[in-house]
Amino acid sequence: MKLLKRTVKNYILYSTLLLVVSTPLFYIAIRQLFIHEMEEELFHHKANFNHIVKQLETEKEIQLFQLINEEFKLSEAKAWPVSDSVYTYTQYDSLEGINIPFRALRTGIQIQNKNYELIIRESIVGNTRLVTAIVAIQVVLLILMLTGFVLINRKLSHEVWDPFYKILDKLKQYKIDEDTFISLPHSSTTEFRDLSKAVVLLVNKSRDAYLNQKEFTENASHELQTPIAIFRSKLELLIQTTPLTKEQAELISNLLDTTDRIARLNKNLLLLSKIENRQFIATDEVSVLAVLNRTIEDYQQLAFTREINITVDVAKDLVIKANPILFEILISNLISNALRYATFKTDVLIKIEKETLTVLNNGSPLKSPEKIFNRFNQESRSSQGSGLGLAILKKICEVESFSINYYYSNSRHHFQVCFSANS
Amino acid sequence: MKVLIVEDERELAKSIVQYLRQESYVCEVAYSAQQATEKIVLHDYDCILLDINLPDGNGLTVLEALKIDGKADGVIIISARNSLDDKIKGLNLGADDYLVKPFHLSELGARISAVIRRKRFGGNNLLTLHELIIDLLGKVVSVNETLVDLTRKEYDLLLFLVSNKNRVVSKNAIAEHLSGDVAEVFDNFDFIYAHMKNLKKKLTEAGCADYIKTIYGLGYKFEV
Repeated sequence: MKLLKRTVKNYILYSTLLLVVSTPLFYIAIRQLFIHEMEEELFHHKANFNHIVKQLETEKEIQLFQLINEEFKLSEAKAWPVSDSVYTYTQYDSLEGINIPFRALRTGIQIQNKNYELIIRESIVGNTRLVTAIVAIQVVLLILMLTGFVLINRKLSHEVWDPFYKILDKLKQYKIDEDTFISLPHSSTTEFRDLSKAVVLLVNKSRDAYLNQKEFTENASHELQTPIAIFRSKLELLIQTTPLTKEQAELISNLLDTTDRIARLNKNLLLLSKIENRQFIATDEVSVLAVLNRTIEDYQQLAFTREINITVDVAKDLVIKANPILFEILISNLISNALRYATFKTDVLIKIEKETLTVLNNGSPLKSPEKIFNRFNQESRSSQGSGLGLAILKKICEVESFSINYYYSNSRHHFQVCFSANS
Repeated sequence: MKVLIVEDERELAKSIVQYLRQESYVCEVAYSAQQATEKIVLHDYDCILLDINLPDGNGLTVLEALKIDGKADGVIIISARNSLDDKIKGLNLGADDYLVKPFHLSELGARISAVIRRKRFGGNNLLTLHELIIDLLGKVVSVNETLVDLTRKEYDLLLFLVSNKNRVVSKNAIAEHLSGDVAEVFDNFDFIYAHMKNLKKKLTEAGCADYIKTIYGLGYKFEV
């Protein structure tokens, strides 16, 4: 929920509550005030009438006065004295077709020694009308207030919250492996200045940690190269010694194999961190088919020993822009992976369709295919692999902005690289 | 033949010296760029192995000094950094080859003998071992003046063994040598056995003595 929406929502709730509570209060207060005023008015009329009635002398004059002044109603008193009483009653108005409420004062009066009962009445505003008017006014007020509030808030959020949104945008765009530093807009608001400072501090710290780790991986791999070289060279000298028994030869052979694995692992780690460090930047036009054919030739012997047939299904060659070294590694890793995990005596199929390259190989499904591109993922790792081949694949695709997908169907593993994002 | 090894890692330098001595190379070692520069001025070498990460500076300065002197020594750069920039820079400065650590000694041996052959004999280069003659330029092999039809891999394999003759070459080194730069090597040496079987068969059928000895499951040795 947006900041503005959240504030407005609370505000609407509060206003509605206020409206509901205040409407009856208003109604009672206003009505009370009305009735009070009305009574004063009635008694005032009575005093007026007393004054006027002294001028009236004949019965006829009295009747005439009554005709002119409808609010007075004079009738002969049935009992005497008549005490003053104020009451409310309704009368049907045939003209308007509604019941009209009246406030009336009943009192006794003597004209020319005759006892009369006098009723003075005033129509009062109807309850429904009053409530309707009050609610209408309140609603209009509420709408005006809310619109004003939203408008003011929007303006404020544009002005006051502007630095906040800018910081947010910058943070969203920031990539730890790309940008060197994060620069945030200056704000005159203390809170946002503090936020900027905190964000910059945090980002810089993370960046340092990230760079340190990256540097460490690369340095560690580099530093390992020499000891591995020494170790391997000593083993190679050892096999020159005589006499060399079969037992010793087997042990040394195992050691050489292990050294190969260490060397390969280290080489791949180094490659991965080099790709991450964007050390392969130069791009060139690369023919996918040419690289494919070269790589397949490199692996033909291996495919042959495993009785795997590599089939290439290409209607038209694809020329893309990429770093040639990275692209060769990409193709090589795709094919070596397919060969490594393909069932013996099956086909590895390579297809180029439009902008995509798909490599298919037979095999049993994976338990957690979503982890396939993770480093050192146990499931997709054999004793031969370094556990980094697919991670390197993924990284290359990231750097070259290709998209890579893995899926399993028809008991075949599919690796699909789409180059279109790049071209 | 004289080889100068410029390498600050003493143990690695020692291994290289020990390996090359078996092929009757005369080896000298320099542990720093300064030592190397001094030696270059005083002596001529057939081949210089140059580590470019030296304690007293970049090994490429040694290469520059060599170029200024106008010396025709063959240079192989050995580096722990598989950096394309360094490679291009080194080759532009006149280095003949570039080898990345950790390398196999037999790979180094093959590279050294290739460099020396190029420097010494120029283009016309025949390698003769009794009845076996390898034409390095035409990349053809003949036994008793009869051509032996070898595949590219079989030829590479033979040359690799001959370049390291009288020393055991591990199957691991052969696998790495035969697989391209990019190809990931598998712990599967079946393809070497297949190549080796074919090579031996072709050579013996042509009347060549069986020089290639199998050293248990470990590797091979070309004995003359």
